Amino acid sequence: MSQETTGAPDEGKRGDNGSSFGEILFRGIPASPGIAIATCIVLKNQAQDVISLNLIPAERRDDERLRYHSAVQTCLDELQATYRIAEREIGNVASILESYELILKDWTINEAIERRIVEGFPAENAVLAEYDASRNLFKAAKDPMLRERAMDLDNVKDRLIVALHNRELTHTIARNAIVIAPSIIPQDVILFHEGEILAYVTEVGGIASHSSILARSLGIPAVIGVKNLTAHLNGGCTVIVDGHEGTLIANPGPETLHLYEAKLLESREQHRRLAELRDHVSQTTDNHRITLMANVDSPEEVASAISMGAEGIGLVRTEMLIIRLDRFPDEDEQLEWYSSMAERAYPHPITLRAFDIGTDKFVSGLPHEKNPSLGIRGVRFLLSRPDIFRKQLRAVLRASKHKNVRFMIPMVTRVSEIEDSLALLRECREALREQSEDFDEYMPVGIMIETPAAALLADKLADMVNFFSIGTNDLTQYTLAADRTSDLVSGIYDSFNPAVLKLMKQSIDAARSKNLSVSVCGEFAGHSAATELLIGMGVDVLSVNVPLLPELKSRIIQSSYSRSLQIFEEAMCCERPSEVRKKVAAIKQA
Amino acid sequence: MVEVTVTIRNRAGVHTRPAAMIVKTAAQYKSNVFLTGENNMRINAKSIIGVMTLAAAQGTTLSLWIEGADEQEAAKTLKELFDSGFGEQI
Repeated sequence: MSQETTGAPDEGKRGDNGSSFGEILFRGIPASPGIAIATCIVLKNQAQDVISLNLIPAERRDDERLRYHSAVQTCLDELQATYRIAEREIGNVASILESYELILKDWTINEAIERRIVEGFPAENAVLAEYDASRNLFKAAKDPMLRERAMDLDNVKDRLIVALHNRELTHTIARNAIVIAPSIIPQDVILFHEGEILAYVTEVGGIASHSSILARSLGIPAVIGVKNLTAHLNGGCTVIVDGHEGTLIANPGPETLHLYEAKLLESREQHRRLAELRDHVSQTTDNHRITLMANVDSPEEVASAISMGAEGIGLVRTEMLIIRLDRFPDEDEQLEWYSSMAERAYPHPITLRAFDIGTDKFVSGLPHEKNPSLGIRGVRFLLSRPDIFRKQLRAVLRASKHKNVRFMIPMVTRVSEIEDSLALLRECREALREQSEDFDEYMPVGIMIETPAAALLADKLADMVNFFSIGTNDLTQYTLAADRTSDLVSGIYDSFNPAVLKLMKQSIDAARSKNLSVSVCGEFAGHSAATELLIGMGVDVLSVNVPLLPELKSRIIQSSYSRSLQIFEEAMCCERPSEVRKKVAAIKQA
Repeated sequence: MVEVTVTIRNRAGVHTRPAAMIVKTAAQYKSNVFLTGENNMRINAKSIIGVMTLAAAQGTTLSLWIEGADEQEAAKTLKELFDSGFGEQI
């Protein structure tokens, strides 16, 4: 339909829609989800067109200095206004804006700029020269995060240049429009939001940048990192911004427009449903409470999970940190990652599952086995490497200081694995106590029920821990001896198999008799036909990937507990997966 | 004149927020406050741009050089700030 491009655009083949050039697709990085279709406003780089080589005559240099002061004041006023809006809208973002204020007030740079102005430089040139000089020092930093802070200086510089030109950005121009700019600073995001912007697209920026974080929390669709975009687009043309895919389509043809209008309607509808759902208590029509949680891989996901109505994080796959770094993280790296998740979820609980380097994830430097799914994974690996396990336990404990962290042991098959893990945990607690570290003495510890052995030993295991979480993917794979990644046995791998359901039921009953909570966190938890089956089985918590939350919640609030009990009872009489599926469907329709 | 050696303890190093904390703390005192990093560049601790150009990562040792009427209090408060890891994860 259209050609793809990164950076330079190619004209689309369908140039027959009446516009001067056809549909163009630009690819960037998705920074904040959502879709918008509107006319665009293009903000060109402010600092480009100001270089003047003429010196200011001596008698006007004082005025020039005042002009600079008033530009600084304008920027400070603008920041103040932003603070107020930010606090009203999103609470604590003041620290994001504070550094801009300190830069504007920085006396070393102000002195240097004034010195240049006194020498006859126009204020713009003085600002550019001094800011660029400082910025280059930043750029030379070894630490990449500090290098990125060069952007803070660029942002303040651009803002000063705009103020010097008296071309204050009126953020109301963004009303019902899409803004395209070289970069966008946090104040812009907030003020544009006030001005009812529909979306924005930038040439630079990071998805973890303050602007992107704000865009996500304010629900403004955003795409970043589209190189040279402002050079290729003129204001006034129609563009489509897809914040899910990270794309921008300029001059969309009728077909594309039609497609995206439909998507937009759908996403609005979803938004409306979501808002409706969010405040609805997650319980059945007959008031049986089911706690809804999310499975996540990163701190960013925690925030969106909570905003979508999750009452906690049922599973954090901590091995994602290993995969991301391609090495084992040290204790402090883990602590930072776990704490940022615990903080984002607070006061809701998060469940950190110990590293489970499973069969479907590859980390370099680990032993290679012929049959890794039956090899040294989960708790087996951890107990074979107490150095790694201890670091993780210490990091998890230290992240538990706000008392909303739960810890979970994967791939349990033997009682001794729990004994050994708990002994190591005790040892870590003691060491932390001696170091006067703050942590939760009563941090709940649970296990994954994901092997038939764990399910069959559930009554013994229930005496040793505080909660169970059933991992249906592995439980299904191990019970049915069917590799879930093999197409050849995909017909055998089926969580509706009564053998799997019986093992689940057995674990749940064992937990119930000891008053432990039971969650289900595998794909089965989000399966559209399994909700009532699981409720009927006695599950307390369902934990699914973030995008599945709204659907699951709407299924929970439409189901009835009494009917769920009946569905489960009848399903347990079935011999084949197909019969179970039929029962589930039949009773639902009845 | 007081000279104190401090170490960057927080994981993230002197990024924007700690830099702002250093500058704001230093600015509370009349004394001149300078920081010398590992590259021996001496910067004014009351300038955020200066502090940020230190680019001090975790584990970096810096020396604080403070001179003025309230140098003792300034040294004490600033040392505490560095030792606390700027209230961040260390």
